Amino acid sequence: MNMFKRFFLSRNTIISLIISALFAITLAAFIPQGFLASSDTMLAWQAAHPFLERCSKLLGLHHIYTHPLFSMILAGVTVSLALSAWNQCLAAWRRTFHPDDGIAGGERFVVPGTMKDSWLILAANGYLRQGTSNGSMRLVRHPWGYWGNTLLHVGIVVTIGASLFIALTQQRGIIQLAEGAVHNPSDPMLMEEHGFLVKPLVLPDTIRLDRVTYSFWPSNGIRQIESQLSFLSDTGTIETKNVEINSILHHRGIRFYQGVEFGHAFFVEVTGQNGLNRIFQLQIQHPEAPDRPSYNDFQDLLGDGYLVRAKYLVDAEKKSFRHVNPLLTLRLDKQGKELGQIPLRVGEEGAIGPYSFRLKAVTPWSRLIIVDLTGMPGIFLGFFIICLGGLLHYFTPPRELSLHATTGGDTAVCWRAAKFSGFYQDELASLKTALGYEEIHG
Amino acid sequence: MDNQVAIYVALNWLAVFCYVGATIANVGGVMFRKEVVEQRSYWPAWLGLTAHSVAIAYWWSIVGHGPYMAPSEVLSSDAWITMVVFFIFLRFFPRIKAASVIVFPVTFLMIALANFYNPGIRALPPTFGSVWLVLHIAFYKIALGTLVIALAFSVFYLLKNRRAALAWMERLPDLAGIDLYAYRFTGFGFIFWAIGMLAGSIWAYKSWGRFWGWDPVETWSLITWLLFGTYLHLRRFFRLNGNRAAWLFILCFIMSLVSLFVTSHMGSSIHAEYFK
Repeated sequence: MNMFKRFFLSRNTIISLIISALFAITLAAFIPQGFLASSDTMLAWQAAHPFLERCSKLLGLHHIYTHPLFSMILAGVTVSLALSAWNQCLAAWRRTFHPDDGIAGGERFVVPGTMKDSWLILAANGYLRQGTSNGSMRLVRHPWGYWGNTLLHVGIVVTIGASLFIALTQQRGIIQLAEGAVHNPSDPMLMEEHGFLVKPLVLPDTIRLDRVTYSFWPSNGIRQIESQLSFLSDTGTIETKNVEINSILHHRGIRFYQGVEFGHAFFVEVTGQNGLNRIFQLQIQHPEAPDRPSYNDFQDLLGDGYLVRAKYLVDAEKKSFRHVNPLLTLRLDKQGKELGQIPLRVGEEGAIGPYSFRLKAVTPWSRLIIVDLTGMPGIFLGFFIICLGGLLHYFTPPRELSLHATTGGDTAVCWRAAKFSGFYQDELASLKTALGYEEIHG
Repeated sequence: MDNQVAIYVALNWLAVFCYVGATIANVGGVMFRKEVVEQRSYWPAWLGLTAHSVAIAYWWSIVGHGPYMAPSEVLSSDAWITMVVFFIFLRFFPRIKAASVIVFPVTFLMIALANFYNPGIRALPPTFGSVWLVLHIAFYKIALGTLVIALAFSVFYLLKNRRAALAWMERLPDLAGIDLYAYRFTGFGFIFWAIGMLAGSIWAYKSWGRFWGWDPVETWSLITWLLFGTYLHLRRFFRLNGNRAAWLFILCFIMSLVSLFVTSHMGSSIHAEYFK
C-alpha cells in the first residue's frame, strides 16, 4: 500500500500524468475525433494526410477520449489527486488543530510590552490564538488557508468523478418535429447517444409538437424560440408544457431543452416514375436574413441517384421575417448535373424531369434536445469546492506567529507566512509598527 | 445611431489618449527614476479608466447586453478589466507597482485595437442570456488581467537577469522577489481560468444540456489550463525557477492568448458567435 501511495504521490508520477493528459488532449485537438467530426471532414482529412491516417488507424488516434490509454491516464490522475488530497487533508488537520511547537524559519524580533498586550494588538489584526505550549503562545491569521490546497484538489477529484459518472450513465437524444407532428417512444431519434452502463434513451410518452413560436431582434438575429409540447401517455392523459431556450422542461425525470435550430417544414407531394405518389417532409433551417435563402440537400429522397436540393425564403418578397409567405425552390440533380428547378408556393406545382412536385403545406419545425442524466450536482459541488479551495489557497495563506516572554519583560515575536513569505513583507512591516517595534529601534 | 457610435468611439479614443499619456509618463518615470512623474502617471490612467468605464456603460445601455459580443466590445472590456485588476491588486500588493510598465501599454494597445473594429450592434443569441455566461466570460477576462501582471514579472526577470541589466531595473524587487511575483500571479490566473472554465460548463449545461462538448475553444482552454498546471507543479515539485520558469510562463501566456482570441474564430465553435 505504501509503495502504491509513494508511486502515485511521487513528483515524477504527478508531472508525467499531467503532461500525458496534456499531450493526449492536444493530439485530439489536431486529429479529427470520430464522435465529433462529420464523415465528410474525416474523409477529407484522411485524403490530405495519408501517413497520419495510417498512424491514427494503428494507434486509435481517432478516438483518443475512449482509448484505453487515455482512460488509464485519467484514472491515474484521479488516484494521484485523491491520494494527494487525502495527505493534504491530514496535514491541514494537523496544522489547524495540532500545530508544531515554535515556528521554523520565521522572522524574529522583540517588541515592548507583555505577551497579553501583543496578543490584544494581534487579535485586532485578525490573528487567532491556536494554543500555548512551553510558555509560548501560537497565533495564526487565516487558519482556513491551510485547507485551500486540500479543497482545490478535492474539488478537482469530485469534478472528474462526477464527469466520469455522467459520461458512463447519461442518455441523450435529439428530435426535430414539425408543428402537429408526433414522436412515439419507439420512433428513431435524429441523434442518440448513451453511456457504457446504460441502454439507449426511450421516451416515457408520445410527444406532439403543438406550436413553435419565435421572435427576432431588429437585426434579424433570433431572440427566443419556444415550443409547446403535449405528452400523450398510454392511459390517455395529455399534459401540455412549454420549453424555451434557457428554460428547461422537466417531464417524468427527463429534461427537455429547446435547441437553437428551427425553420420551416415543407410538405411536398411527389409524383413520378414507377407509380410514385408520396408526401415528403423537407425540413430546412430558418434563413439568417429575409433576403437570403436557406438551403438543404436531400440525398436519398427519390433514389436512383437523384439529389433533391432545396432552398427557401421566409418571405417571397424578401422584406421581413414577420411576413411568413415562404417561397420554396426545388432543384433536381443527377450525377452532378442539374436537371432543372422550380419555385413553389403553397398550393403550386411543377415538374422537373420525370417528377412532378406539389407544395401542399408549410409549417414550422423545431429541434428538441432530450437528456436523462444524474450527477450534475457533483459537477456543481466540485465547482464550488474548487472555487473555495482556490480562493483560500491563493488569497488567504496562513500567517503564523508565536509570542514568547523575554527575561527583560518584553515579548519575542516570530512571524512567517505559510506560503509566499516574500509577498507579505508589507504586512509584516505594518505589524511591526502596530506592535511598537519601531519605537524600540527608532 | 450614428451619433451614438460617434460618442462611443470618441470616449474610447479619449481613453486611449489618456492611457498613452499614462504609459509615456509611467515608463519615463520608471526608467529615468523620476518618482514624481511615475506617481503622476496614475492621474491620466485613472482619467482614462473613467472615460473607458463611461464608454462601456454607455454602449451597454445602447446595445442591451454586456461587452462580449462584437470584437470591439470584447477587446475593450479585456483592456478595462486588465486595468481594474491591476489597480485592485496594487491596493493589496503595492510592490507590484512596477508591473504598470507592461500593464498600461497592454491596456492601451487592446483598446486601440478595439477601435479599429466596427462597433456595430450584435444581437444577443438566445443561449447567451444566462448569468453563468456572464460569470464565464468575466472570469476569463480577470484571468487575462492577472496573467498580464505575471507576464510583466516574467519579462522583468529575463531583463534583470542579463549580464548588462538596464539601470532602471535596480528599482525593481530583487530577482527572487520578481520570480515569486510571477509564480504567485500565475497561480491567481490559474484559479480564475479554472473558475471561468467551470462556469462555462454550467452555462452550457443550462443552455443545451451538455456541460462539456469538446468544442475547439473548450479543448484549447483545457489545454491552456493543464499547461499552467504543469508550470505550477514544475515550480512546486521540481523547484523550476529563474530564466527557465520565465520562458515557460511566456509560452503559457502565448497559449492563453491563442485560447482566448484565436480559437474563437473556429467556425465549428459556439464561441465563434461572439467573435464574428
